[in-house]
Amino acid sequence: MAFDFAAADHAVRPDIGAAMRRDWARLAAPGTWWSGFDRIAIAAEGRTAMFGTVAASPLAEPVGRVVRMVAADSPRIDAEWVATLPAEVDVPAYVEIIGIVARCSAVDFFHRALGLDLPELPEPHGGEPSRRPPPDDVVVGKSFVPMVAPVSIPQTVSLVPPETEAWQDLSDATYMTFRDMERPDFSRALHRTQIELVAARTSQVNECFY
Amino acid sequence: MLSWSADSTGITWDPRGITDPSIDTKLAGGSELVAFVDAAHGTDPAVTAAARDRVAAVLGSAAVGDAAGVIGNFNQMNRLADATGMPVGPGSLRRTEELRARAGIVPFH
Repeated sequence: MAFDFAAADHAVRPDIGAAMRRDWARLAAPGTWWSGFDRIAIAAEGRTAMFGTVAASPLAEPVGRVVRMVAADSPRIDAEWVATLPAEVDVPAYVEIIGIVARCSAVDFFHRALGLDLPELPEPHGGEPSRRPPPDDVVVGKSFVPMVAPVSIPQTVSLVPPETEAWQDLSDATYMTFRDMERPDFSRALHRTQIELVAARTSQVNECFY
Repeated sequence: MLSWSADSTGITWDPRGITDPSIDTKLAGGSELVAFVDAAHGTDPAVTAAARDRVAAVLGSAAVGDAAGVIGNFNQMNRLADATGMPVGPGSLRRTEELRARAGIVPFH
């Protein structure tokens, strides 16, 4: 079974494996602006950019360039770069790319940290993307992409609602839920302060102020 | 978040250890966790394995799995924030001014 960490050298909570299985299922299915085939290709391209693995990409080069930037060079992204996205990637499609690449980075860095091989990407499902229009009530101009108010971390990819649902599901298991965040003494194997230290150092290594 | 949780629970710590691994954060297992994060972003599996073992020795095996989860999650969060241009609001900057000064953290955007 995918994401069964019973053989790992260190204990992994079962809910982390379950969240990753749900994530892989979401990844393989058609999204809002990209097909299942596209989404797996985006994930593969992002993995190649992050870890230097070599894989032939089925993505058109302008799309691949966007994926690689999000995966491996996101601190260099600015408003001007987003304003000049290639014609093949409009802003909602860009937001979906961010969601896909970000979630794959979570799964892949988790495996690398534990010394495990990266999991095989799932087989894509057929079908067309939903092309569900973005929400109307978005705030424009406070960030590089429109977001549902209030502009904040939980709303980063709110222009494509299923992407928000997906990253929050993964984050609930690997970090903590919003309800847990209200508790300064929250504790699993790590105390809240130790969790936040790992988070802060990771952001420091990634040159991300957040 | 770290400052808030430490202050709220009466834990004394040194934020300079976030940016300078040579400084002890004074959190239990802090040095081992920082080294694990750094190793997980490096390229030497042997270094990462040694870092895992040190975390396990100090905090227990389950702490390794949980720390790996947080490392993964913050790779996700960092890309979400960077690629969407999540702004750092003036309120956040004000609230964290003293902490950032102590830790030597400068906003990147």
